[in-house]
Amino acid sequence: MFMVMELFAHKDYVRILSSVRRKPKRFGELQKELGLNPAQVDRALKYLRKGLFIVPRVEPSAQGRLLVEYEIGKRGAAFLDSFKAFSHDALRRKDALGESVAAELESFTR
Amino acid sequence: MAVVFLLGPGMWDTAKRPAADPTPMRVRRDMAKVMIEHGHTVTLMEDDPDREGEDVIQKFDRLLKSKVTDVVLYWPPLAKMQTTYDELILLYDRRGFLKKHSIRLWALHHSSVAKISKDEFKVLETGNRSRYLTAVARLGLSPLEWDGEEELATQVRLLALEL
Repeated sequence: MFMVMELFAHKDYVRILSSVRRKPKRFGELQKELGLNPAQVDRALKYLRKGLFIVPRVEPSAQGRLLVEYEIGKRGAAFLDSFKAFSHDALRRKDALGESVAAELESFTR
Repeated sequence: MAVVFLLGPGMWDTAKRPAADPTPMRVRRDMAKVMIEHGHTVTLMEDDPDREGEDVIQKFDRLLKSKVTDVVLYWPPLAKMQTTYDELILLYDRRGFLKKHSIRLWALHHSSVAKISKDEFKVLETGNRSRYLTAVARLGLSPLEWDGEEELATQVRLLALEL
């Protein structure tokens, strides 16, 4: 099962989605850009791949290795759009929700 | 909506797996049904009637050139793969056409066939089996892994959404 709430529970999953939406990336690039350790990136990519939130694509290297680049999938893009709308609405209500909630939501796509 | 050319084996290797199981052909027809329910057009080589005077290569070309947007390869374990290898060779030979028309390649492969390890796609099949998949992977394949019938069904549904 690929419950969408699982994404809310893992900030690094959403950060990876946002990153590959800007530009397709490889494992090492995500690790470096987002300051995550290999285990975190590996776990996130496995989940996101299984749910087809991201799509892997093989790109052969000059050395003959079959490297994989990850790009956003339609499901991933739809989730990010929904998340953005939710965050936007929540930020408008930060007087009631509190500054910490607003900061937390903003940190998802940073 | 996508126009899908769905490739893959038709039969199990009965020395390794009971012939009584639903055949790979049946599995592909079920996959096609899911995709069609999502509004896509799906073609299987075996289900398209032969035309008079047309050989198998001409048939492959005719179907590939019928406004196909996506080629999906179903790769289970323990199947008779020779016909699929032939199709992969034909596909590789037409890489210029695939690129020109931005036709996407997908492989719905069993976890014993290949895996993604961090930055790298690794083909686990050995010998000739690995060579055909490796060649096609170089064309920009998007591999989708499954392990078991339930997971395959999930991946097919998700792919139908993505196409």
